[in-house]
Amino acid sequence: MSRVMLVDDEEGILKALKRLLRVAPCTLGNKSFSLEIESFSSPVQALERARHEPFDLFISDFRMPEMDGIEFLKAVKEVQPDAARLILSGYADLNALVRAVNEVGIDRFIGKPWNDYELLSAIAQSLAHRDLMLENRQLANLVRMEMGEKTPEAIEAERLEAMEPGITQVNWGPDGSVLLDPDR
Amino acid sequence: MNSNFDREWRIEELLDQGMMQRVGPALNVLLGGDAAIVDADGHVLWGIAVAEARREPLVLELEPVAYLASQSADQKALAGARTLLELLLRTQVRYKMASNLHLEAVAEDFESLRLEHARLQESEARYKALSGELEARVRAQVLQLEERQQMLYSAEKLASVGQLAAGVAHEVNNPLGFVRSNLATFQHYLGQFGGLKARLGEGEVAWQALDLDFVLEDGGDLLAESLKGIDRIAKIVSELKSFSNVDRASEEFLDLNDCLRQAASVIEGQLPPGVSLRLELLPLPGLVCLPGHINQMLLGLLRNAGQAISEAGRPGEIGVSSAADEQGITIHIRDNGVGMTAEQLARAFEPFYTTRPVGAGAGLGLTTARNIVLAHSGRIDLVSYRDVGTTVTLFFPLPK
Repeated sequence: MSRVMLVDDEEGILKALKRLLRVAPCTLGNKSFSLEIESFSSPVQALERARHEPFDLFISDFRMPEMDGIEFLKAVKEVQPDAARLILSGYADLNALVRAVNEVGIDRFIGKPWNDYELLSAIAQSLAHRDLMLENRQLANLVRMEMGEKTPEAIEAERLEAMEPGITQVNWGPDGSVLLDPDR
Repeated sequence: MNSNFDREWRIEELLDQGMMQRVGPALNVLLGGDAAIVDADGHVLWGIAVAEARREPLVLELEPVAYLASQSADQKALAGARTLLELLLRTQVRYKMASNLHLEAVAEDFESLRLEHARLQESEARYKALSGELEARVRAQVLQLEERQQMLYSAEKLASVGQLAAGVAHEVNNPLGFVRSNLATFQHYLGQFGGLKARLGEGEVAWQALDLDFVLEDGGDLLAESLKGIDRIAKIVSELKSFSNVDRASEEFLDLNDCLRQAASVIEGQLPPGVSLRLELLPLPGLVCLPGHINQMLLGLLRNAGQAISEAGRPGEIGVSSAADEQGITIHIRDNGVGMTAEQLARAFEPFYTTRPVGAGAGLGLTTARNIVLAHSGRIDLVSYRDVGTTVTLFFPLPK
C-alpha cells in the first residue's frame, strides 16, 4: 500500500484525482501499486500532516495561496527526504521550473490538463524508483555491515533518522544542557 | 596701408602729366618763351633743358626736388616763377597729404570694419555650428529617452501580457484539468453500467457486485462538478473579453451620477444582510465616456465593497460620494469591511491576483477597473487598512 498526498487549492482537482486513482490501475511492468490517498487544499495543513505521518509520494500544485508548490515540497523534503515528489500545475514559468528541479529535485512536472494514463505511469514510475532506491540502500548497508565498515548500531541510527529526521542529533546548549526542539 | 601720408613726394607725383600740360605753357609765357623743369636726377619733365640755361632749385622740405631752368628769363622773373611753382608744389603736397590721410583713415576704418565683420562672421559660424550640434545632441538625447521609455513601456506591457497569459493558463487549465479527468472517469463508470446488461438476470446481486450505487452517486457529483468547471471557464473567457474590450466601444456624453445610481440599484438586491448602501451625490458636469465599461467597473467596485463587509462578519455600510471641481470628477467608494494588508494592496491590480477562494473571483475586477479608468485618462487609487476598510478613489479629468 503506497501512501500518496495530494495538495491543490482547487477542490475539483482533488476530487477528480481521487476518482481517477480509485478506479484506474497504477502499474509499471509487472509491479502494481495500490494507493492510499490523502488530499489537502491547504499546503500549510498538508505540511503539518507530513510532519506526523509518513508518505511515499507527494503531488502538489504550483500556484497556491499561503505558499507555492516549490516552497511546500522543499519543506516536505526536509521532513521526509526519501519520499517521491511531483508537481502538477496548469502553469509555471521557466524560473519556477528551474527552481523545482534544482532546489526540490522533483521527479516529474505534469501539466494541467493532464493525460490520465501519463499521470498514472508517472506516479507508478516515481514509486518504483523510490522502492529501488530504498532497496539499494538496504543492500549496500548489508554489504557494508558484512565488510565491517558499518556497525548495526549506525545502520539502526540511520533508519531512525530517516523515520524521525533530527532524532539522532543532540543540540547542546553553551552550558552543556540538552536543548529540545519544541515542535518535534 | 602701404604708403604713409607724410612720406617724401617725388616731383612727377606732384606735377603729373595733366598738371604739366597746364603749368608748362603758363611758365613759358611768364618766363619769355623758354622754360624747363628738371628733376633732382636731371630727367627733364617739361620743356627742353639747355645746358647753359639759368637754374633755380624748387625746394620742398629743405631739399631741392627739381630745378626750374630758363634761358630767356632774367633772374628776377625766374625767382618769381620759382616761388609760384614752390607754392603750387606745397599746395599739391598739402592736398595730397590730406587726401592720402583721408584715404588712409577710411581704409583703416574699412579694414577694421572688415576685420570686425570677419570676426563676427566667424563667431556667428561658431555659434551656428554649436547650436546645430546642441540641437543634434538634444535630438539624440530625446530620441534615446523616447526609445528607453518605449522599451520600458514595452517591457512593462510584455510583463503584464506575460502575467496575464500565466494567469489565464493557470485559471483555465485548472478546471480544464479536472473536467477532462472527470469525463474520462465517467467513461469508465458507463462501462460498469454496460457490464450490468450481461448480468441483468442476477438482478440486485449484479448491481452490488458492480458497485453501481457508488457509481451512480459519484457520477452525479462528477457531472455537477464538471458543469461548474465548464461554467468557470466560460466566465473567465467572458471576463477576459470585457477586459480586452476597453478600447473598443461607443462613447456617450452622460452624468456619472446616473451610472452610480444604476449600479447601486442593481447591487442593492444582491447585498448580504447587514450591509447598507448610502449615496451622497453632488451635481456633476457631463462626461464623455464609455457607459458600458463605466457601469461594469462601478458594479465590480460596489460588489467588492459588499463582499469586504460580509467577510468581516459584521454589519457595515458602503458609502458612495461624488463631487466635481474645475479639474475633474472625483468618486469615492468606501467600505468598513476587512480591508487589505500592505502586501495584498501592492498586488491588488495584478491580473488574476485574488484573495478569494478558488472559483469565487477571477482576480480581474480591479485590473479591468484600472484599464477602464486609464482608457478615460483618469486615475484610480486604493487606500486600505486591515479590519478598518477600503476606499477606492476614481478621478476623471474634464476636458479643458
